Amino acid sequence: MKLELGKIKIRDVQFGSETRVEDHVLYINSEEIVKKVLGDERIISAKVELARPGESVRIAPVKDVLEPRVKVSGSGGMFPGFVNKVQEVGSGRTHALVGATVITCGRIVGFQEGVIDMSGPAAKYTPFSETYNVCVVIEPKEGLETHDYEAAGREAGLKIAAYVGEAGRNVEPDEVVVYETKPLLEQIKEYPDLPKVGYIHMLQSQGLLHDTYYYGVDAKQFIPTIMYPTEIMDGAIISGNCVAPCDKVTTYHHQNNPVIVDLYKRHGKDLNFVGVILTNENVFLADKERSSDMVAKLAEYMGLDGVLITEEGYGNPDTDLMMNCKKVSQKGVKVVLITDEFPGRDGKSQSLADAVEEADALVSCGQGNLIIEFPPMEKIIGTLDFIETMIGGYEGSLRPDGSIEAELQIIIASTIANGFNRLAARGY
Amino acid sequence: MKTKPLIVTNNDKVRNRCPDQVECRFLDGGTYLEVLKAARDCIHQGCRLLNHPMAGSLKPNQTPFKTIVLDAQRSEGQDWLESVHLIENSIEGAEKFLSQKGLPPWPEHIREDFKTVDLSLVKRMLEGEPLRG
Repeated sequence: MKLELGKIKIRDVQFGSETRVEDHVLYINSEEIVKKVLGDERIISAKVELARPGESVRIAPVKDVLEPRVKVSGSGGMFPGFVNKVQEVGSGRTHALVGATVITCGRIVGFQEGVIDMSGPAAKYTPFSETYNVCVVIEPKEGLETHDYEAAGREAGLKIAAYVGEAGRNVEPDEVVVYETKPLLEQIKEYPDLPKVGYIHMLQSQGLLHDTYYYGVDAKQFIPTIMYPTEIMDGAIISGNCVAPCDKVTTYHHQNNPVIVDLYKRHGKDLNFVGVILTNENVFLADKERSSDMVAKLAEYMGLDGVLITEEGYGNPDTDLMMNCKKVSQKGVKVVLITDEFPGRDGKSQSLADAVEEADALVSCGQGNLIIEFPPMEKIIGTLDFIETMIGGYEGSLRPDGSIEAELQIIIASTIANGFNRLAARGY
Repeated sequence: MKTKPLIVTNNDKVRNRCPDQVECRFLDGGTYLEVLKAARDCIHQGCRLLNHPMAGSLKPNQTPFKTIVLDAQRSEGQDWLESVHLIENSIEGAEKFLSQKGLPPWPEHIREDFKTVDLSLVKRMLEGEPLRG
């Protein structure tokens, strides 16, 4: 499967009479966006606001972040199973508005989501302080059931990201990157002397606000399967998770999965990237056994020499991570784990909720318990009403002047457990 | 005859949804930690865990609600030992979080949201999917 990803670099975002890209500037017709969002009767109000790098702006609470993309050629359309019908994606040509995002924000439940600062000391912890963000603030109908509102918010983000992505359809990209993975036997033959490396991508799938979808199907309902790495770049996987802001894998992070992008950079040089195994993170122990058995079986079946494994979330997913690590190792495959840590504010507690002997190679994406200061911002997109009830916030976090003291984990993607951040731990 | 699975919970939304095929031990007003400890006591008497005690990304000092599902058929051996290990680890983990920062006094609407999320984690079980394995 071969995908040409055309990157259109966005260097500013402005309101305009038409949603379009011109000279690297993304113009947004906010009336059209509002109309599209309000087409869903579960949402009673929608407002579009723009946030640029360096501005004195705080965005909260954030539900999802998405990169506007459009399928220019090849089968299927962006976000299959949601915005477009279920059809295989990952081949042909796709254009991405790199440097732009769509951010959905507003209340889902009282204790969720996180913060993005566009400037100041907290900005450096989130990649979205460096992007031009089209923020869609939504408000649900009174009395709407939580599941329905979560779905409405999630679908609004997908719809708007696909709509904005359309603006890149006929724009000449600044750069075209070609990604290709062949069917397994051919791919192994192409680089017979290089180690065969796979990626085990664990998708959060525990329940409400802890879900992820692959071609529209809730990940808890599938058994582990194999994916061509380019499928994810066309939105085959989307996020319905909004629990822990710091390590939530937003839809943007799926589209731009750094493990996949980095494995491709070394593909054919010092490794042979043969494919992705998708699995889930379930609540029931029988499901965990079944899924980790299947993951190990697929790793063996694909003839892998080594795998990278990423997880989403803390606690229960650590058990899935360790079960995968143990069983895959027992098949003779070398395993490296990537995750973040929660060792308490003094750093002295266990970093993960579970561990096995086989887990002897791990890349840390930082620890979420560090306390940091957020100065007041001139403009708030969304509301600060929920700061103290967000994960990482606490009573007294929000001060009357609008400044905040909170744990790092309140910031979107600050310790994201796939490495799309700048925090790490080093051994000396 | 098979014994019914046993649910230990302090979440009335779970209790209210419990079908006849499930026995429910409802700890009215009980804490997260009390649910874990009640489940531990059942495990010590031979029950086996069916769900992970720390399911959900909500930490023990964030959500007041917890639901544990147990296989009430008396078991022993490796599976049972793993349940003992898992519940003890979870209690230790919960105590670690609670000693760092206590549970905030959540307003009622937020407590309701926590209940809904806790319910969603075990919903499949309540809808009758077989989960022994």
